[in-house]
Amino acid sequence: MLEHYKKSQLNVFNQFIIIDKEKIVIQNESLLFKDAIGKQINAVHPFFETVNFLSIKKNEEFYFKCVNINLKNQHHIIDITIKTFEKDTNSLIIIDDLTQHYNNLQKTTQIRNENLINSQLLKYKNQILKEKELFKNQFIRNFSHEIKIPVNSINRMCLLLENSNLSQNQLYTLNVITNINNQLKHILNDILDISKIETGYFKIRTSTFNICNIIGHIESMAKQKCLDKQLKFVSKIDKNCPNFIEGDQFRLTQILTNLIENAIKFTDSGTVKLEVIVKSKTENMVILNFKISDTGIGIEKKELDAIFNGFYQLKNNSIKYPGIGLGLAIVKYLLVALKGNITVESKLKEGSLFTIALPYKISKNQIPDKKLIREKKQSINARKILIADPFSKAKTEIETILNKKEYILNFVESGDEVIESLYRSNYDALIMNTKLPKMDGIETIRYIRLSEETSFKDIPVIMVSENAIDEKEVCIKNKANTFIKKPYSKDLLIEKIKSIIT
Amino acid sequence: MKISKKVVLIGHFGVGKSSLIRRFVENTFSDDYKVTIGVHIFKKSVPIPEEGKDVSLVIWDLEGNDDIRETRLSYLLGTNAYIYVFDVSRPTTYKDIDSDILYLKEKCPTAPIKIVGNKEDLLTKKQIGDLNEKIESFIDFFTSAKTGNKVDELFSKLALELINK
Ligand SMILES: Nc1nc2c(ncn2[C@@H]2O[C@H](COP(=O)(O)OP(=O)(O)OP(=O)(O)O)[C@@H](O)[C@H]2O)c(=O)[nH]1
Ligand SMILES: [Mg+2]
Repeated sequence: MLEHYKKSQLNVFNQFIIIDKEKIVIQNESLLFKDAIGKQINAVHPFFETVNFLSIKKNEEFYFKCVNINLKNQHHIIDITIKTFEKDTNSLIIIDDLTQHYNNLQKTTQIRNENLINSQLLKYKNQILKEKELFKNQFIRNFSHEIKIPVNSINRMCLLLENSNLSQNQLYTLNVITNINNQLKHILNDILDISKIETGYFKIRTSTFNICNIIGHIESMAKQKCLDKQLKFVSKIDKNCPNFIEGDQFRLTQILTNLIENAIKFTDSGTVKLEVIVKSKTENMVILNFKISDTGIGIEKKELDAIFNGFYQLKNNSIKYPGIGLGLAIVKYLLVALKGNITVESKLKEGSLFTIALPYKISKNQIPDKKLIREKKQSINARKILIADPFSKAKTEIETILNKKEYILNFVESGDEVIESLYRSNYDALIMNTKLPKMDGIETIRYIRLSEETSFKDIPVIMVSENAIDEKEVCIKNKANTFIKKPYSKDLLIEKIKSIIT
Repeated sequence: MKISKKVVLIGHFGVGKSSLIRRFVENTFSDDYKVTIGVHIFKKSVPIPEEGKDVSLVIWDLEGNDDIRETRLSYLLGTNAYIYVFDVSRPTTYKDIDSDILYLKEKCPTAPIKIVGNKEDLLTKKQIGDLNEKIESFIDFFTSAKTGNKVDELFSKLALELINK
């Protein structure tokens, strides 16, 4: 019964129009196009104007669903079927008025499309924002890099001045300049680090290291700094801590140094403490907690979140404790990059406690000490040489000249990589092209000679260049041990190497 | 007899197909989005002074989808020209442009296709230039239904092409 009722209801919407072979309406039951009879079907509605060519096709049916028609200010949405028969006979047009049904469909489609469009626009805007951010960071990176060059030059000039018979007063002024310049260098390095992390240029350098050694180094640095302010510094390492772990020791040192320097800066009396605790340990992995506590001015609760933002200064403290406050921001960035985290607890006027957690692999094969490596090297007499040249031809050239038994060769292509390699490992000599991308050879040797790294600041360096006239003098001025012009003979290179390696 | 041509506007949803037609037929614009379902049919006569005749454009405003292959095929029957519309502010609407055009050419090999980047008012001249470089297919017009920029030019150019066909 329901079926029957439904059918009769549906049929109510079916309306028929018959046109003859001249496309004139000869019969019309439609409620929509009431006055159509006798008219050309084209004139009834523009829809028919574009489909009437179909009537020449024989015995076919064409369905046009969901056609919107405006008639006398009334909006209808209809399905139209066109049925043709034998050649040169009438055609049948069937109209189903499904306005209500389609109106419901319209509502759901409306919601769906609007949502999709909004999410597409949002996604696109985010992408553009990201691109802008990337551009900004790249700009900052290049910019800081550029500034580092003159800053380093100032340092070098200050050194020269220092040895030039200055009066006591002048020496004092020079010292102030040097200190300010060092601060500037420090800030630039911090900015470079942040932009490197943000632009994805940040490299994690994993190596095996002894955690006690690292803490030992940091302790001697911290004690020195505490001396000036008459603070006490103590450090403690969990007995369960594995001796050798694998991770980025350079960045760990940077994080701990930043936090400890910060603690010292904001403490006027009392103790700064560094503690290493094993938080959890499996056969292969260990999570270490490093706790840095002080008895300093403390941080207000509402400021706790903000202190990790770059350029944040504790309220009213910028005069007494200067600095642009990048230290903590860097720590936070570094920890994200190293998959660690940081928490802070603090009480105003009592002190703060920073706790960081970092995962490390437990090293199975302990690396021998640097000293041991050196002894071993001497026993087999092989010399370790770092070669920096952006041209791949140089690599094959040098490899053919230098005997593999006598020399261990390591090749890099940029000034940055030279510095990185020197930090990572000890070399007997450096052979460096003056033309290196980004930080050129001259700039790199300047950096090496001015650095405070005892492990490499005096490394013997041979500078290599194609144009000897201009560059030899500059290289020697910048404390290169010797200079060699390209192309060079095998004998000359070996002679030069022998002359600088004792 | 007056020449009458079927022009179909096709493209992703929300790119401004209905708005372009409304600008062309009624010279109005609304910021509100009302989704088209199925098809709306409009008619406007375009004078072609060069030929001293009028062309009557019967314009089919199709509903947009994510993929034009979802379009009901009966809507494309007997099409004399296509206007493929995309939204310059939404990459999703122009990422498949090349394959979409191929699809339309396959369906109606003889019908000319005009490719239109709409909502040009939302981008700067430079951004439009960059976009034009980026998209391989030749973009015939960058229009704005909102300001009316290049809308009349689009339909007049098409009408002129159709009258000689
Ligand atoms: N700024 C700007 N907005 C536009 C322009 N053209 C259309 N819009 C807006 O874009 C939205 C979608 O426009 P419609 O014309 O309905 O788009 P459509 O292509 O017909 O969409 P569907 O019917 O769903 O396929 C509306 O909010 C319009 O106001 C334009 O040139 N500039
Ligand atoms: Mg529409």
